[in-house]
Amino acid sequence: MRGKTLKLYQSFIRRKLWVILSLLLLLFLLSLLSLSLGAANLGPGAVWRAFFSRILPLSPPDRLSEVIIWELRMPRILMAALAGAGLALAGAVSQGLLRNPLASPYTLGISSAAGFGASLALVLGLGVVGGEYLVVANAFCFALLATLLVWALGLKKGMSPESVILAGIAVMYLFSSLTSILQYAAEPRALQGVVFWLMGGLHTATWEGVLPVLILLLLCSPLLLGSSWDLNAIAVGDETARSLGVNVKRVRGMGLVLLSLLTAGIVSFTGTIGFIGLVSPHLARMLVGGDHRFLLPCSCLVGALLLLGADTLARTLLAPTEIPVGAITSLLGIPFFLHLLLRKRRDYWS
Amino acid sequence: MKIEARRVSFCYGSLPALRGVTLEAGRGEVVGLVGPNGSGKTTLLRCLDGILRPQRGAIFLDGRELGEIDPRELSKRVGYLPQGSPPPFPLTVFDTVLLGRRPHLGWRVGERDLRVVSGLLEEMGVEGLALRYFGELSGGERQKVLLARLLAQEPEALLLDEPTAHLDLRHQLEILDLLRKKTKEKGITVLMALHDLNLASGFSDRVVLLHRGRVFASGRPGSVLTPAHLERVYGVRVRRMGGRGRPYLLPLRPS
Amino acid sequence: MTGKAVVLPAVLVAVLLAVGYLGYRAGSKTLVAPENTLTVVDDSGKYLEVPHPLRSLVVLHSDAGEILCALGAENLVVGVSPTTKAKLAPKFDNVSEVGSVSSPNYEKIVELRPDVVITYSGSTGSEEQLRSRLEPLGIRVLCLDAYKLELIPKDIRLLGLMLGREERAEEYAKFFENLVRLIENRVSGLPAENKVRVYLEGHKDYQTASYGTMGHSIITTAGGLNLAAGEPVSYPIISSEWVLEKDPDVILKNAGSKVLPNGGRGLTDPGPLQQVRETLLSRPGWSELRAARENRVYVVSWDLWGGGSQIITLCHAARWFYPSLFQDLDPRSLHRQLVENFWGLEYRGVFTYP
Repeated sequence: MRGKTLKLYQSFIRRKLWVILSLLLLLFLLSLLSLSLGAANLGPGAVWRAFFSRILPLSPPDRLSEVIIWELRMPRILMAALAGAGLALAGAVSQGLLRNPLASPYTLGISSAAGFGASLALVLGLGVVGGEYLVVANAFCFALLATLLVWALGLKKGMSPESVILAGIAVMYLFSSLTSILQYAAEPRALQGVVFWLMGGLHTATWEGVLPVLILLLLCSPLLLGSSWDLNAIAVGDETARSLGVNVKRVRGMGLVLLSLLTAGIVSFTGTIGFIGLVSPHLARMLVGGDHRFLLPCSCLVGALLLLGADTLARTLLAPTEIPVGAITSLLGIPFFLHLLLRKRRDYWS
Repeated sequence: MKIEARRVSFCYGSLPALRGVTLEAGRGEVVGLVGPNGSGKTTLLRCLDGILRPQRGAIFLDGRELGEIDPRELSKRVGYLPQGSPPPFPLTVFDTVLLGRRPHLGWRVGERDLRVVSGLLEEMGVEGLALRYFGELSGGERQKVLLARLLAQEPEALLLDEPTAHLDLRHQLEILDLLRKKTKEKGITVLMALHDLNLASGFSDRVVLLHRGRVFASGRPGSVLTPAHLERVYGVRVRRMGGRGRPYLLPLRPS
Repeated sequence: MTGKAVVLPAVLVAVLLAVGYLGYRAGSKTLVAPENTLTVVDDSGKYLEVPHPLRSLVVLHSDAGEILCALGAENLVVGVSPTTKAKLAPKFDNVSEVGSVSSPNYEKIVELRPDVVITYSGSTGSEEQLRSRLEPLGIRVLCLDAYKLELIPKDIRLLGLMLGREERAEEYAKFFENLVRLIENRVSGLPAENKVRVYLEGHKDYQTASYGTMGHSIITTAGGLNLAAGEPVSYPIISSEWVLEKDPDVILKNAGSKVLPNGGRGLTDPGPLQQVRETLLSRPGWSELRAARENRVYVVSWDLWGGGSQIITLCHAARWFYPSLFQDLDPRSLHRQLVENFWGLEYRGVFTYP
């Protein structure tokens, strides 16, 4: 009997690993597909010769293809995958830390603050650093400011989930309203720039942007993934988690700071892309259950797939017009919420 | 493990909850904590697990002061079951019990951890539910799983706050029976707050009766649960039946 | 079981880093290698070295598109934004679309291999992004803020120089300068208390324009006084009672694209513009305003509120403000001259009322 239970459990675990591996493979295939699609008409042959021309000592079909593949599409695909993974990870961790299925990096006020920082740069030209990185640096700094505010407010109230959620919403409204005021005062052209930024887009992805996001993800994810067991414990209740040796205040505080940092770093480059952080963990939960050891990596993969897919659509559906990625991901939210609303069978959360 | 509380006092803000509580639980003893609502049972248990720090007095575990014990080590030795049912969470039964191993887990889940969990599931009689989600279980099944989780911690002591609330008659008896059996087997000290006086009487070695944050009486069930004491503390008249050792109490009416 | 979980991400990370490194590795990226070059300064203040003469351009805004038509260089344009295409139809009907000025499609632009991409300066024209993506590939980014009336002659001459069509450019630039000078001279002597007091409304109800905007500068250059000049915000939304209190001498109203989808082009009668005027005057108390009683309420199509057409609006405004001073000024025929002689498009439509 004992052996049977163990065997069942082990195959249960193995199934989850297979799901994750399949998602990884899917991501790889989607990347290849995405690489061969675009506004410029490059045939598949040209795409592959251009791709391999930098890895193997082959000469590329022509400069144009090489440039388009390596300078325009590759960084964009990488950015989509990394940003999607990062936002999804941040979303999953926030939902776990706050025991709330509607938690996401956005309800913590981070994206509103980034939007305000960007608007400040775009409308008034005011910023922390000037020049090329004016908008990015501003967005990042204000996002960090929001994090600090939420963290401090939460700490004052004992870092309970409710106080963090309330603090996050308050901060979100604060910066949203400030952004609205800025928009009112803006010139039409600057206003258009702000609106585009707020809707999010990956068309400005360059290798120089991919690098910081990659580094940030590499730094934050081991720490977040390593807290999987703590997140599992917190899911059962703060007191229980404490009795199991988890320093709930510290885990929640550190987790918040890390996930905010990750989100801030991504959003500064990509603008606010909605719903990835909210929807991916739920989809992942449907695939591998609520054990964070598998939920977190699975969320990353789901997020990467969603964002890469959405971005590929964004730049090919109405080419050469680019649909803002945020618009497509927001549309994703609608069927998701309807599904949550209408489902008859029991939720994983009840 | 020997648990000792000496003149422990705790206030929630300006509201006093415990006033100079002194009690002891010896190794392997099962102590039932009873008293009316607001008498301080939950507060006392929280202090004993280190969740709340008493403003006055001290708590000793095996002679060592609670404040000096590292929380991680504490979680390896003391298990705590809070009052009420946990918020909905998406873990399977197996993973829920596995959570009890967290204090002992290293980098990864080991063979031993898995064996401890599956063994406990079997002993509790819920191994068939191993891969079901916790949220799908009935009340009685859930309590068994939570008990299994506590035992998976391989503790030396257990603090339980109303482990039988909301359970039907059969499950109440089943849980307490399992609890008593397992803890006696391994010499685990148990302090459990109970609502039901008869359950306390039937399953505890000793009973501590709290009244407005103070220890009103402490000792064998027979000597603590007397009509005189109960009328004083609960304001209810009772008729006592059964043996002097484990009395059965029939409530009559408020006095 | 868990051992695999550590190896896998490590491999993933290694692959990612390798790909990143490969992408980053230097390789000559330049697409375009010109022989003869010219160094110019654009409206953002940056110096750029461009091929001389220019062989192909991508144009992201119609303000520059107009100038190119005026210089007869429309056949050198290989890519346009959809708004440029629409505004200057049918000149660019067969030219590829490359995205808008705030959201350009880099892939498309790169595929067309232009010498120069023309946009606005600052973030409204995605200047930084365009420069960082395209300049390493040898494609120059030229910022022309030709939506500002005072910069139009300069931009015209700059493009004329770059295209080798200086004579035509001079003629076109002078068209603007002469008109502006004419108007400025005639209104320069007017004392402040005699100046016409103007309320300007955009296509959005009750939204006016204050200091620093195109509307303000047109009113001021034409010798008028913008009642909203001192407001704290560029495009404030004011209340009806504010207008009633100020009682302007002249009211200018912008008819937007909802009312005039084609901007007035192709219209044979002023119906829609008339409608806008009537709706405005039906607001409570507005028919009692001085401007209403003296019949000095004018509706202007959105087509005239941008680019080179601003000069026509300026002429109209001067005539409306001071009819006695500008008897000899015929804005409609000037408009025809601009559209037909310079841009080479058909002049047909109703753009102002009355």
